Amino acid sequence: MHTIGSSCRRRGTSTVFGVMIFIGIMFTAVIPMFLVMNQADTLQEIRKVEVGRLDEEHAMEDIYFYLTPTVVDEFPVLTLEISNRGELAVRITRVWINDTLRDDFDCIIPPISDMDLVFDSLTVPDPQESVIYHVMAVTDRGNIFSPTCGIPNYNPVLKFWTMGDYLIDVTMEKTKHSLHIIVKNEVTEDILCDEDLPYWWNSYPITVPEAGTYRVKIYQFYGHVKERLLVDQVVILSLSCSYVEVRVPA
Amino acid sequence: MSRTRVSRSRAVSPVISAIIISAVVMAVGGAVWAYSQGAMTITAENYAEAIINTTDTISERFIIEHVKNSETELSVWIFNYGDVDIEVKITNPENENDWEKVVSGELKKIDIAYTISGTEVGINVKSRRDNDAYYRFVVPS
Repeated sequence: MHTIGSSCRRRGTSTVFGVMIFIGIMFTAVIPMFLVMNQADTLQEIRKVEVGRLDEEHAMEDIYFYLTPTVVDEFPVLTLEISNRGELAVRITRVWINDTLRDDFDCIIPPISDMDLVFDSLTVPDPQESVIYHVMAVTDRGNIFSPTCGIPNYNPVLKFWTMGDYLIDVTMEKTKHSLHIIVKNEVTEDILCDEDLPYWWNSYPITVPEAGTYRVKIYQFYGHVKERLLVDQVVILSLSCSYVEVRVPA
Repeated sequence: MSRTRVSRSRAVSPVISAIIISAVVMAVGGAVWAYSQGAMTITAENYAEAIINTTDTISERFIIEHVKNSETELSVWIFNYGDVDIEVKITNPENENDWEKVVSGELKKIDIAYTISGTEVGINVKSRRDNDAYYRFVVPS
């Protein structure tokens, strides 16, 4: 009896070692691996949420700005009246006036409030010729805003400002489909634009000759077939509003 | 002779056999342990690296903020408003420029040699992680 019992115990020794090694592998290799993978997945989920929030904030920024052109000491001066109509504070980091970058200011506009930015020492390339000032404001969330009142035009000879063309700016998010734009004068029924756009255009400004009511229709192509009407919008351009943005939904 | 051999093989002690088997188990088990630990570490590192790369790819945010042209050159300002640093290259118009690093929050100007023949040009900027930004530049009249 004694011999048999002793032999059985000895036979189990290697099994015990095997089990210990298996448990060791589980605790030192397999479980840490799953922990690392799980941690990486968690970090990715956190990042996705953060990126989603940033995108949401990017889309929520809503500012209007108007340009007030004046002449001070015979030099042109542009005042940007920026109005934040969104729910978030907006930080304007840069303003482009034609190809000149202006970032010598720190402008944070709280929600539902206004702020003025004055830009003097504007570049006048040729003192004998009129100059058009295209102005853009850039926020730290990557939005670019254009003025809602048209494009100012300065005549250095007369030292006089006028507001430029009437503009319908069609803007779109990234899409995989081509678009077709039709702009028609609602009164005269003249077609001012009837064009196809490649899918990667992000902005398509259409200049119209006069103030009035215009209908903008934008179709989406599937292959070569004009199938889906994305936008059917009536826009009104007037002396007080010579620029209208038409957004194509994503 | 044959009797002697049988008696010799029977003489191997059960203790020694148990030690030999245990030693074999420990040797093989140790090797498997070492291999599995290495393999799992590499697998975990690769997985974590792939996830971090994917996370960086989905975190990239950049725009073409402004474009300016001269007779022989096109200047493109790229604004990285995302949280990760990026490397970008202008792929359209084609040029021989290298990848340019744009750190988070930076506005970077990239110049390429290009003469615009028509009235407008489509500009495409690609990041190393395969994200794109497009811009339609209308040549000022």
